[in-house]
Amino acid sequence: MSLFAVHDLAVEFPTAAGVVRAVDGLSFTLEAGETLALVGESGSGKSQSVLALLGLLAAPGRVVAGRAFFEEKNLLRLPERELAALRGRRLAVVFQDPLAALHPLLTLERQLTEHLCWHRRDTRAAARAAAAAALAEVGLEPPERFLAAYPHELSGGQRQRALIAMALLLEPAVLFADEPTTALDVRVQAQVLTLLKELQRRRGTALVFVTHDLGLLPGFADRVQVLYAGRTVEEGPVEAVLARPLHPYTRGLFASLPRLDGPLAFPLPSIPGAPPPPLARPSGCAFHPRCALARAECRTRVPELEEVRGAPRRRSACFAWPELLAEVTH
Amino acid sequence: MSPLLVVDGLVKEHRRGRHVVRALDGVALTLERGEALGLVGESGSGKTTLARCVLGLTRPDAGSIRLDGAELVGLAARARRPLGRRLALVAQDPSAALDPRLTVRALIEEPLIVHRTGPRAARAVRVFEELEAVGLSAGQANLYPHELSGGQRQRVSIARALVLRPELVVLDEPVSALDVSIRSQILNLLDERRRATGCAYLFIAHDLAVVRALCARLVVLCAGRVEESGPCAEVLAAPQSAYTRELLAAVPGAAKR
Repeated sequence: MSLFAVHDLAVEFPTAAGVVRAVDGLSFTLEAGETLALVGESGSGKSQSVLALLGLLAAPGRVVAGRAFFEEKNLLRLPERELAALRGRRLAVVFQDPLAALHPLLTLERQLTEHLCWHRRDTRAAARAAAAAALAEVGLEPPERFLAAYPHELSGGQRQRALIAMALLLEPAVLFADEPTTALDVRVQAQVLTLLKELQRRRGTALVFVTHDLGLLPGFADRVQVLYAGRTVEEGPVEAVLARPLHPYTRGLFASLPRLDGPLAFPLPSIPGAPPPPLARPSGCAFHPRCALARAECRTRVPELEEVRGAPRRRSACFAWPELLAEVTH
Repeated sequence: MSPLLVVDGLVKEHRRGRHVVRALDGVALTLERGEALGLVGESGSGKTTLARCVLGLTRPDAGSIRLDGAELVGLAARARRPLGRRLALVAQDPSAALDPRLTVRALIEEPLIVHRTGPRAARAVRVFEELEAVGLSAGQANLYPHELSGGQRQRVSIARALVLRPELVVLDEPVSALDVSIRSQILNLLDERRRATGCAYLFIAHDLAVVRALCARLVVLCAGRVEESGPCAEVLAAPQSAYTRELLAAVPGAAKR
C-alpha cells in the first residue's frame, strides 16, 4: 500500500458568476522517500490541491469529491481536530513566500518551538535544543544567532531555510512544498533545492513538489504530473516524460523553455493562446483551442487519463498519444 | 555615429539613517542604436536602480548618462520632458502598470495625448496600428485590463511603450510574471518589434536563458558593479568572472541540455 493515496479529488469555489471547479479529478500515489512534482500554470489547480489535502482551503472553496488516504485515514473526512494533530507533525508544508509564512513580530525561537510544545509537549529547554539542531541542519549557523533573529533580519534564502527547518522538525512522513524557490534568486534557488534533496534523502521524507517550472525537475523529482485547467493531462517518470512528452501541452511547455545552449532560431517555439479562465473552460479537452493536433472529437469529448501501452508507468489524457509515442525523435 | 546611450561612472547611494547602501558603484555601459543589451543580476545588484536612473526616476549621486551625446544627469524637469518621447518602460507586472479604469484603446492613446502628437483621427490610426502590431484585435480595444489575460496585458504595455516610437525601451523583467506557456510568445513579439522599429532595448532579467534569447550582448551586475560584459555567446560559453560562473552553474539542468 502506498504511503499517501489521493483518488478523484475535486475542489469547487462558488462565485457570483458561477461555480469554479479548481481541481477536477486529481489522483496520485506517493511512496516513502519519493518526490512527486505537480506542474502547472496559474489556474491549473496545483496549489488548491495541496491546500485541500491539508484542510487549508480558503472559504468559499470546498472539497466536493475524492478520498485521500494517509496512515489508514481519509484526510478529507477527518474532523478538524484530528487533521490538526497530523498537520505539522506527519504532514508538513512549505509555501512560496517565506515572509508571509513567518510571524514578523516573533523570533525564530518562538516560531520553531511553539510547534514542538504544541505537538509533542516538549519542555522549553528541549524544544529550544531541537530548534537549534534543526537550524544548524539547514545551514543557519551559529543557530543561537538565528534563534534570536526576527524574520526581517534574514535574507529570502535564510527565511526559506528557516521554514524548511520548521517543517522538518517533527520528521513528517510527507512534505508539501508549494513553489518553495519561486521568490528566490537563481543561486539561492539552487542551494535551497539541494538542501531539500539532502534532507529528504537523510530522512526518507516523501515530497510533493508544486512548481510551474518543468526545468527544475531533472535530477530533483522522480515522477511528474502535469496539470492543465484543473485536470491531470499527463504523468510519468520525470526523465521519460521530458524525453518524450505524450501530451501536446507538456510538449509545448517543455519546448518553450528558453535554453542556455544549442541553436537559437526566432520565432522561439511557443504555445499559442493562453490558459483558459476557470469560468470559461473550453468544451471537451480544455487544451484543444491551443493544440496543433486537435481534431473533431477533442472539442466534444473529454479524454480520460489512461495508461500508455508500451511506456511503463505513464499515463496521458490525449486522444493522440499513440501518434506522439510513435513519432521518431530527432 | 555615437552610441545611443553611454553610462559612465554612475554612483547611487541609498541612505536609511546612518545606514548607507551603494546601489550603484561606478557602473559604465554603452548601448548602440537598435541594439538589445541584457542587464543581468540578482536582487540587490542594482539593475533596477540603474534603469530608474536612465529613465530619470532616480537622481544619481555621481556619474553621467548621455543619450545621443546629450547629458541627462542634472537636467531640470522641464528640460527632461521631451525625453519622454524617446525613452519608454515596460514593467514586470502589467496588472500593476496599467490603469484599471482605462480601456485598452485609452491606455495606448494616453502617451500620444500627453506628448501632443496631433489630431484625434491621426492618434486613432496610430493606436490601431500599434494594437495590430502587438497581436491584439480591434475588438479588444474597448476592453479593460481585468478582462485580458496576463499575456494580453503585457501586449498592451508593449504597445503603450512603443506607440511614440521611442529610441530606447527599458524592459524590467517583462516576462517573469507571465505563465511559462506565454513567455516565449512575448519574447518573440519583443524581438519582432525591435527589428521592425529599430529601437534599442535595455533588457533587465535574472534569467540568463531569456537574455540569451533576446540580446546579442549582456552586462552582469553584482553589488552595484559591472562584473562582466560582452557578447552573450562568449560570456555564456566562457565566463571570465567567478560570479558569472556561479550564476550559470545555478541554472536548472533542463535549460542546459
